Amino acid sequence: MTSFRQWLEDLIYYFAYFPLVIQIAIIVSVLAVAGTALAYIYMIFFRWQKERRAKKEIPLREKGNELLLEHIIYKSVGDPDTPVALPLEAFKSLPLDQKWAADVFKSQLLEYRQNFTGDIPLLLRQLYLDLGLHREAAAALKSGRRKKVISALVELSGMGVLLETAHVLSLTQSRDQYIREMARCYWVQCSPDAPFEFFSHVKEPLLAWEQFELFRIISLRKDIPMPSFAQWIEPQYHPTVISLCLKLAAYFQQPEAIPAMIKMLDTPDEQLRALTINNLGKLMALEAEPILVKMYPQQPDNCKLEILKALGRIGSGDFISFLQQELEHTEDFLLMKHAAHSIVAHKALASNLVARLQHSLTGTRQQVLQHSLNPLIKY
Amino acid sequence: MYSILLVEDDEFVCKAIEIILRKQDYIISIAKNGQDAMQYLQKSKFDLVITDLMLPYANGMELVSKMRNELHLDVPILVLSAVTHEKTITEGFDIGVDDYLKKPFNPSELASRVKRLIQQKEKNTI
Amino acid sequence: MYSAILKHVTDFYESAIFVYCAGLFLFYILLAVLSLIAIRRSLWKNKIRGQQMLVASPLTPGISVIAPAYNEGVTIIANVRSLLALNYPRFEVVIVNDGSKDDTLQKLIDEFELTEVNFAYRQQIPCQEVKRFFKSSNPAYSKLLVLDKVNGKSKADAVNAGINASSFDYFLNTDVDCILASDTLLKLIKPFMDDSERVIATGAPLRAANSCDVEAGVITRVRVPRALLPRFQEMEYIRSYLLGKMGWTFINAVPNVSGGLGLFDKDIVIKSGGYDPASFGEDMDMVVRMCRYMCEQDLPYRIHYIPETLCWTEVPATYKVFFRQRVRWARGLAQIFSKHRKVLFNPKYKKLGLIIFPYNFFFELLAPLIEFAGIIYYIYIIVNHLINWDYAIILLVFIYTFSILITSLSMLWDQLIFRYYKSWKEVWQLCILSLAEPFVYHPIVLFSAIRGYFNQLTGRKHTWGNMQRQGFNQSSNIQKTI
Repeated sequence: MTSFRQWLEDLIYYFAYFPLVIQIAIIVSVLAVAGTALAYIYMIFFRWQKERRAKKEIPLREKGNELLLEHIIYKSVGDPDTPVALPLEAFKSLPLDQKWAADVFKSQLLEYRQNFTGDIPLLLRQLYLDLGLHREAAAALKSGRRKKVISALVELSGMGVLLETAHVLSLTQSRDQYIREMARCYWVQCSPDAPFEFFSHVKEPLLAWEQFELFRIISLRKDIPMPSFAQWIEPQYHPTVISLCLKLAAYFQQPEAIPAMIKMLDTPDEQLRALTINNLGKLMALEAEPILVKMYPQQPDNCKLEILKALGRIGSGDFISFLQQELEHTEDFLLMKHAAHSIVAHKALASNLVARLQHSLTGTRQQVLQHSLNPLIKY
Repeated sequence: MYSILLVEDDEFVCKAIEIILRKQDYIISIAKNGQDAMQYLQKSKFDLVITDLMLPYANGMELVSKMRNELHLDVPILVLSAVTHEKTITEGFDIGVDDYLKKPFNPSELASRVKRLIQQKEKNTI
Repeated sequence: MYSAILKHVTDFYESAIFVYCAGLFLFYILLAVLSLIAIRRSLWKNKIRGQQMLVASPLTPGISVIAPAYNEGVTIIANVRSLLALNYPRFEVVIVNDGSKDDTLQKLIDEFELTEVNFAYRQQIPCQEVKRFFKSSNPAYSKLLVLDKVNGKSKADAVNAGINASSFDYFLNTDVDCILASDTLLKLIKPFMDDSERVIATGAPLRAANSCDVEAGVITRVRVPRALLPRFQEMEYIRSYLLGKMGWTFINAVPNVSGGLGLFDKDIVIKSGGYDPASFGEDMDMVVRMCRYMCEQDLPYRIHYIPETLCWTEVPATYKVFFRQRVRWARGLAQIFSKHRKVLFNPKYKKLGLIIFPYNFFFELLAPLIEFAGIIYYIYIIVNHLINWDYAIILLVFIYTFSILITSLSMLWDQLIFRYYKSWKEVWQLCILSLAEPFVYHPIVLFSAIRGYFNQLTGRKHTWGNMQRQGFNQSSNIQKTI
């Protein structure tokens, strides 16, 4: 031990005379040891802190659950005409003046809102407002700090509370992608009169995620009549807006969108064209069938595929011979497969043809037909 | 008193449904996955089964198919699931699901559907 | 004269080694910082974007889960069940029975009521012949498709068959003996939906399942492996994913998506030619070829890693199996550099050619060689009494303390964010282990790497046979160290 100490003392004494390399090595070693020690200390501290917080939060969560289940969920079942009175006093027994407690309770409110429909979300919203829990988010909206603004948008949109209308509307044009996106979702979720207005002004693409989110919000909004989404199926709008509106028009079964969609078939954007064809199929647009068949030969493969699928979905039976011809002659496997699928999708209309094809087809084509006919195989 | 088996792995949803249905004087048993549910079903009789589709180990569809084909139970089955794909739903009806309720759900609607399914079964057995 | 030259050589070598180490350490520190930022960003995104929405949306894209099986009769039923129970609205499970010699196939047929179907199959990427296709006659298992194919002596070949038969645009490449978290598909598809550039692959960390409590194919309690060798590997995995892959994600330069768990854009995989059955590191080879394809087509792309552990796999518990696995990985890495020679320093391949390849060349491929040469050099100077013991010890301490710092940081990152382990004891068990790693674990890794390079150079045939099963179990090519 003493020799080691001696060695260390020598090391410090001669440090200045060592070559640079050794000097650096010594310094880095000392730093590394210090860093490691710090890492462990921080680890201990952090685990301890988290455990302590969990211990504090669990009883609060339980109490919150108890109150919410008893006063909101339990009472909302049964006679729909008697309005549920919010027992604010009971909820005020929670230590909501403390930020951590308020945060926990807000997360519970959000969870409940996400899990139930009917009157419950409205009751929870009322509770949120009556307890004054929205004030912090309202202030955060205007704080100008990115993460704060975003989480405020998420919270308010989750609670369905529209505040600071003009400011939020300006946020939908923000340069920050996340703020813009969250503000748009918030707007669509909460705006009472013009939730879709911003569709006309979108300049930056809507990410797939945002489209999903908007789709979900729109499909869950039952308080306003759906607009005709055909108005945005026009080449002057952003392709991602068109794509979202195509899906929405099909989801809400708006046949009045069909003419606009047929016009979109001229778009040079192949992906958008394919999507248009797909949704024409989902809308069962009879009038589109001859147009699709006519344009078929000039199309790239992905559009051809969608045309075949659409013909199966529309299924008028008028173009079954076209499908037959594709099944018999195309060299492309996928086209063959979808031609077969679409013939089978015609059900009774195609039974004679299928019987004939089962005899006449050979090799891969025969196999593709068998594949499509087998009820065990879905795709 | 009617007894209901609830098959659901989400604790929160379990608790909520339990409260909702207790109010209507049902007796609720809870299974966390398809396997546990099968054990319950072999041991005791239920007037209704409410199940999620996505469950660990044996999923809801499997449970339904086993109930109908192996245990030959005619107890009404209500599926409560977030899945909205039409194919999945129609497939469910094909293998013996009686009713389908989407998550998120309205508790009053759940209560009324449960009531209806149990009444229907009563009628059929009489 | 002679000794003067020797002194020059030794001086040069010492400073060269120092510069190399300093460079490597700088990279590690940089990666540690970047990965912390990436992890925090990813967690923040999780907070503002709930994944539950994907379950209910009719727009959610379908995924084909592809898992090859070779002689897995003992566990196949539980494993397939856990795959079928994944929480995702639209997926299929494609099990490729790769010519098993046991009762794997029969067990599947019996349990899931399978019947042979006439399946329209097209071979888009090369693989051995698929003899039969099975679907379940029970609609409860309609998601399951089983392929019975001729053994192709590699996981790559089996996955290729699965890709050929799959129906969706995305596929998950996994192993049948991996235990997946139930939200795996939801979490892995998210980055594909959430990027303005085309995402071609995503991955997530793997950990050792060795001592975890498993019930009915689901992990009920995560535990640190009890045995020493798996525990070392657990530590290495945490470091490799949380400090390495997450850091690379931040600058969009992920070198590899490991074979145990990865979600891929099928179109790009097919266009890049599918998995290469001749490769010893088929997963990294695939990612390199996908990146090459994207660069050659001049298409922007991204590869993402997410920080949550989604997959638990049985890691080798015996030294023999472990050694074989690492020999194979090292050989795979060497093979990739000889196969894709043109990529190194080629600006055409952007980050792949200018960051990923150079880094992996100098600090992954050459590291064992330089280290090995260093040991020989030290032995030589000790024998010839040329050694300056003070300096030698200082340099050793330098390397030792730094490697411990890096491991400790990765443990800290892990603790800051997830807390997979319930008790303090488990965390300490891992932390203490980092002190022993350089003496116990690292030499094995080093020696197996040298052996792998040697095998690659001499073109020695890899012994298959009973190794085959191991090939499946452990082909998940986690890049050595970081």
